[in-house]
Amino acid sequence: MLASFKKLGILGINRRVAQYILPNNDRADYPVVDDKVLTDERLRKNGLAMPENYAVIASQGDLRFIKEQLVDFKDGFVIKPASGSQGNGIVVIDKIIKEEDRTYFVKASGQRLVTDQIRYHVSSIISGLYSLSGLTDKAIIQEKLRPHPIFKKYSFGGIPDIRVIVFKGYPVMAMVRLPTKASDGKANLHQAAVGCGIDLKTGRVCGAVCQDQKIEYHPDTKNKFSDLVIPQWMDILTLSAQVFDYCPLGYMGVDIILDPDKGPMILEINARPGLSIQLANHQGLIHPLEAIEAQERKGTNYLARMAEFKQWQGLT
Amino acid sequence: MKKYQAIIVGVLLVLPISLVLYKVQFLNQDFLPVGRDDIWKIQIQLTPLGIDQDLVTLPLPQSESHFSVKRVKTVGPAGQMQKNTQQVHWRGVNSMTKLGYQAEVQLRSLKNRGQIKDRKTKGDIQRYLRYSNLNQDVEELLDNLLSALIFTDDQDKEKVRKIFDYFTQEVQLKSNVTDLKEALLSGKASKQLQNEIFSLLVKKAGVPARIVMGIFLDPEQSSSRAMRKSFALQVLIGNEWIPVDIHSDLFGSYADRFIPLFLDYEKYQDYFENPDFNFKIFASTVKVTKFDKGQYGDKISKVDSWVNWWNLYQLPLGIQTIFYALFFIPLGAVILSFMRNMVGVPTFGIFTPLLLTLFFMEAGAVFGLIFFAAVIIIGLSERLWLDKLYLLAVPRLSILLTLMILFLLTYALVAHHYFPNHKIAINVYPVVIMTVIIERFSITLIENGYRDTFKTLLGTLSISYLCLLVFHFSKLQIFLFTYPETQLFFIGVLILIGDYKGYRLSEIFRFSPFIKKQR
Repeated sequence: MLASFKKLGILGINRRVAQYILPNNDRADYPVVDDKVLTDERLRKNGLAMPENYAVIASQGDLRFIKEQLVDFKDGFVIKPASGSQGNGIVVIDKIIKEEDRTYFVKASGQRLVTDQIRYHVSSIISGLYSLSGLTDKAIIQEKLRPHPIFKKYSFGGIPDIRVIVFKGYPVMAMVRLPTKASDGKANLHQAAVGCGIDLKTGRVCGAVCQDQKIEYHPDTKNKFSDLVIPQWMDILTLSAQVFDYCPLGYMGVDIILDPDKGPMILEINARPGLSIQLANHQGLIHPLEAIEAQERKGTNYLARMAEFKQWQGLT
Repeated sequence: MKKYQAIIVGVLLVLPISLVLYKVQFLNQDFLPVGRDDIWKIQIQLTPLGIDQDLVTLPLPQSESHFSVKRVKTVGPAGQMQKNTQQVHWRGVNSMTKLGYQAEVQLRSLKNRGQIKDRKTKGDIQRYLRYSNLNQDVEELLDNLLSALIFTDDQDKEKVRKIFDYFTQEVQLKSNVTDLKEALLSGKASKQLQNEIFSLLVKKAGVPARIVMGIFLDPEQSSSRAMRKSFALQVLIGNEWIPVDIHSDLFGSYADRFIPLFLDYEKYQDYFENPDFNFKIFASTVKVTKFDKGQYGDKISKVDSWVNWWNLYQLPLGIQTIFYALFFIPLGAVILSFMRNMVGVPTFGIFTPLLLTLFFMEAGAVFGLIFFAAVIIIGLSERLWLDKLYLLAVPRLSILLTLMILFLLTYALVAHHYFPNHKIAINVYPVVIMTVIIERFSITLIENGYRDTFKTLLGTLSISYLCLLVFHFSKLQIFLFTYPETQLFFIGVLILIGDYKGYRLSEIFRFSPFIKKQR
């Protein structure tokens, strides 16, 4: 069994930490990725596309007028902790409706929340309930992006996102995370979303996994994943490589959302990306990582690196 | 692993082993202290009441094959006291003066019996043949019984044995029969009366006899308490006092947990039955470890060597106790690191399982788990209820903490009022830990669902119990304390675990569907 693991190049948690994260990720860069407000500041300033942050709530006092702050975003919004992890604490509000003088915030699943519930959730975020460190946090009220129509057949509510593992500034492996009914519209594999591996050359889905089990069809829409080809694929990979220029983490996961109008946008960066991407791709990470280490890497910016990447992939 | 790292690990692993071997092989230090797991403290209190006493004498306990007397410490005015190995006297004692002694006795296991002490008699034996005047009727009944039991030309031992057999086989125990005549007529008697009749018959047969008073150390009742008197007998055969216990059918030995304190009960009867004296016996298990740490520590400290610089036995007792408990924590950390990084067991927080182990050590494995489950259920219900109030997180967590303390208070009060024998096990810090666990538990439940939450809970508990199992070995605990250098060994092991880049056992299960498909 272990021999098969090694042969297939499956990366385990221990090796990921010891061989890739610790030597390649400078601790000083962590705050930029662990705090989504700082990520936004750093990347937006350098012209990388990101969803708009409508508001950042940092103190309990700001909660008094939260209803007034939110009712204008009738097309929905996302509440997320600035320092959350694994998608914990994220609430996606699809729309706001008014019935008999009461305002309801409707989640992707159809569940209705009243203002008190929203206030309570934001308050919990500020108190640090979902924060990585357990310290006080900030709540981000973020623009809710629309899913690209290509994903309509392959997801249930919510917005799919694309995770690209970027090693030393070069894309290594990618997957698209598709929400399901069970994941409550969230694109989080821990919460039963589907992870589909993507062929780096073509952007075509090459495998799928849900709750660590291989699948071929979406559990809710019953559509076959192998028919899915991600549009603007090279743009997505280029954007992920561009992140490294401003956030030099040697080993990171870049989460990207494909908006039908605005194109690929960076959702967040992860300094400790999970390993399920291997299951989704039916391929281990070690060989692609070692292949990049073995290459002569000259690229000093993302354009040069992407040119090298395309050359290695035989795309030019 | 880098070369310098391998050297450091090598030193950390080899150095402690070498030091242990050096201490044992070259300094001739005993590897571990000798076990002493059945040690009791016996306390005799004798207070003259009302009138002053010219002379008060107490016999001191003497070791027997089934127990040894460790230390005897007398209580009373030292100026008026005279003491030898057998007894202690006080002269000119004022009333209300507390006299007595404390003795530590160690019960020996069957395989560890000592030599039988010399029980040869000294002094006047005639008094052990005398008995107080009896009614004519009783005298006749005793004589008739005796002539039915023995022949006059029997050897002493035969005579006693026949009387002994009669008691063990024919006399029935009836606690309300305390009258001598009634007992002789009915063949039924209380325990104490049986001893008296046995003694009378033996004396009438010409064999010196005496009633022995002592206590029975019941392992089920080890907490300090006043003890009831317990009795046995001794008969003098061939110039040697032979113990007899007619109630336990023992000829030649005492009952296993019987400690004889007054070999001649009648001589000291005044102390027990005279209103001029207040007499009490207390007994409790000694609240020390199961090892003779003190003696062992003294022995080690006497060794003149540089390694004694870090001998922990030289520290004040309070500090010793702290390190005694603390030294388990790095071992627990090794287990925890192994389980998390090599097996891949999920846990709530990093050191929560270890802290839970400390709680289980205090509360007991089973009771601790029941208590933990109850606290989780109650805490979770509270949390779900508090969720409806939309309170800010920190005050909400604080309410949970306070409610937990109130729950503990309720438990303590219920136990106190309705279950007086229950030992209340509450420790301060696990309360805080449990509050945090409940908070983490409920968030994981909401965010990741039941499956992940219970998996994590199970992981936390399993590591906790594994540590508890290891901590259970008291020999290991004393080993760690005796050889503090083993802590370096743990650092070496932790570096090895920390350097492990292989797969976790859980990953093998996680990625196995992937392997199957590839094949």
